[in-house]
Amino acid sequence: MPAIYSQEWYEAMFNLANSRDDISEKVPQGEWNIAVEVIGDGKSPYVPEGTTKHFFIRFRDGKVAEYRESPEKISGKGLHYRITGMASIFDGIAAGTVDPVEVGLNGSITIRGDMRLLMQHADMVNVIFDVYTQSDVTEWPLGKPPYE
Amino acid sequence: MENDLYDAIVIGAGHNGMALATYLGKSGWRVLVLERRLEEGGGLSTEHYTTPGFLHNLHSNYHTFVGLCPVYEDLDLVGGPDGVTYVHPPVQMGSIFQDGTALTIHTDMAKTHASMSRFSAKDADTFQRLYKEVKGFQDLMINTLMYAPPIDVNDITRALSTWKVEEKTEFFRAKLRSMSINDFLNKHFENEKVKAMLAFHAAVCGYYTDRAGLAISFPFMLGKIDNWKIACGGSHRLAHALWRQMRRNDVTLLPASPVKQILVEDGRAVGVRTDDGREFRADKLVASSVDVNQTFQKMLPPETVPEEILREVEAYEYQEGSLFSVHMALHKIPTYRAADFDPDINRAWVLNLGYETLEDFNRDWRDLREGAPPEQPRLNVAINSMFDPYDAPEGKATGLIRVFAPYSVNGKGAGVWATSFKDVYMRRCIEKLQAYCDDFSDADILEAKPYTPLDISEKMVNMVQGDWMVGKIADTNLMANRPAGSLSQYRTPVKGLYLCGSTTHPHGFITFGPGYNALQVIADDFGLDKWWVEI
Repeated sequence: MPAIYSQEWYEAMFNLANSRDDISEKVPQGEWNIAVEVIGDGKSPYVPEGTTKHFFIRFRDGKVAEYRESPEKISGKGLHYRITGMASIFDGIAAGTVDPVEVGLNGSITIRGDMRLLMQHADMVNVIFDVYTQSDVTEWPLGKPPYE
Repeated sequence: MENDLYDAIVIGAGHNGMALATYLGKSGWRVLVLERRLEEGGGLSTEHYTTPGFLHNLHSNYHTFVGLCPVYEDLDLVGGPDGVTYVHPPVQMGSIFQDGTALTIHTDMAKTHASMSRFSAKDADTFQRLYKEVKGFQDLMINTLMYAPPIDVNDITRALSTWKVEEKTEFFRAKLRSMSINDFLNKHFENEKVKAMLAFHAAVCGYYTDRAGLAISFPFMLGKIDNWKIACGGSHRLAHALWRQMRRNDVTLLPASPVKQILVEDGRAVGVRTDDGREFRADKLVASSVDVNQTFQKMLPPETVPEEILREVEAYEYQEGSLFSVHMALHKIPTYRAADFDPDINRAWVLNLGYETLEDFNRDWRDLREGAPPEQPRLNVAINSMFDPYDAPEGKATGLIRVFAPYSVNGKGAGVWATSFKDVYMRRCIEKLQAYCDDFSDADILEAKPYTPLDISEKMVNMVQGDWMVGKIADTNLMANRPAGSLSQYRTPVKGLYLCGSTTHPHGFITFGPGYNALQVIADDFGLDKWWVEI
């Protein structure tokens, strides 16, 4: 099992997403570019406090075409969504201990971009988070949330 | 210049039309705005309506979307030498009750909780939970439900169901779609005065509390109960800020240029003709920020509009009620006897004087629907001078009383408002205010002048029947139903003609939503770079 946020982990997530027909069926056709910003909050041992991890995910015609970490903030140009939140929250989602919708509703995670499309493809959001929370593909070398 | 070819022509220089024009100008388009009146701004109208030196906001007074609506930031409308100075009163609103008690809403929610607790500790806690919950998704909801072309409400409720939102929130429920604001308040709150305070907030926002289906907007509306702001020097300052940005971006504004006809050639809008016969042409689009009735029934040649659209436009409904206002030049700021109970009431900006129960609202809504001005006017009072140092001479104050009132009075038409009845009704309103004050006599009023529903409709022809929301606020006329399903995406059956005024989603009020949303559609249609969208 690859360690969270390792290159192998991104590849595993990439392959997992593309192996799921339910994702390709539910992601709208065309290209969708998503940036994820994971902010170190002093709770997660995986993202040092004061730093931010930047991921970039590109969906093309229902498949994940790209899933990588970026050393710097991803430009808003051509981006459709930017999802931002504290590392401990994202870790919790990946570990399956935090409900992604709940943290979206209480503002712990912010989503910029056209929410209408997400609402019209509400199932897609569920399956994407379902992939993200596949705890069996993720290793937690520094401890799993709540990091005890 | 009149023969110049523009990229876009915008009809109407209200805040929506000006905002759209500025965005397009900033995008490099050559834009012309034609305005019927001598001055730009539409509902952003501030005048020396009573005694010179006293500035009165004749229409828009409460700006509740500053900091929430992207337009303010995109177009640099706030602060600096060219922007508006906004004041955020610490005591936002209050209710004074006949028993001498008072309830206050503060920007500091701990103080609101304390004030509400004096009426019901349970309600104060409920309100706190509700406010906190809504704040969590406020940005999300505002960006989805107001600052984006509308989607079908069924899509929204389906998403809420798919994401099991109901299991994760206390107040947000799909069934709010069928509930009234009264239903919501009765379900969650126990104290009538607390309910009246919250209902008052909705009513001043143009939402009738007894109408089924409006509860869906209510939690979201409460999230901005602490975001009521005053444009210093009058609401018209916002129009000036917009005008300066139009100038900076080479947008041409022609006042006193009422559009008589939209020119259509081969099924495409290609320009406009003004009342005095001038013609202006645009090679990309014409955008109308005036109401659908004027746009389709007066400005477009009938043969260019499909019959079904004309039928829908004809059926477009306006609010049953308008507003009767009393503008006052005052020697002093009124103070209230209820300050003995809560001293903060003397610092509150927007006051409810008269609504003590939900039934009080119901009674007024019934009266409005029957065309009867409420016998006992219940007031909405605001003394801007408490916070705005520029709207009255030093030591004096500008005051505003508003009452929900019908356009047509007792079946006798709106002309009744042009008779001495308006003075009788104004007197009734002033006496009602005085009844709550500890020392506020006629001698404290330098001048008072009524402004009636008829005045609204005559000054702002867009506000048909004095409807400042420019269309009924009902589930049948919101989101993708406004102004009609076929017109809800700001496009029209006439190619190159767009709608960008308050008859489109979301509604009237200084939201900028219609103009901003029309811009998104136009940008999609013409492949404009959306420099204003930061993701």
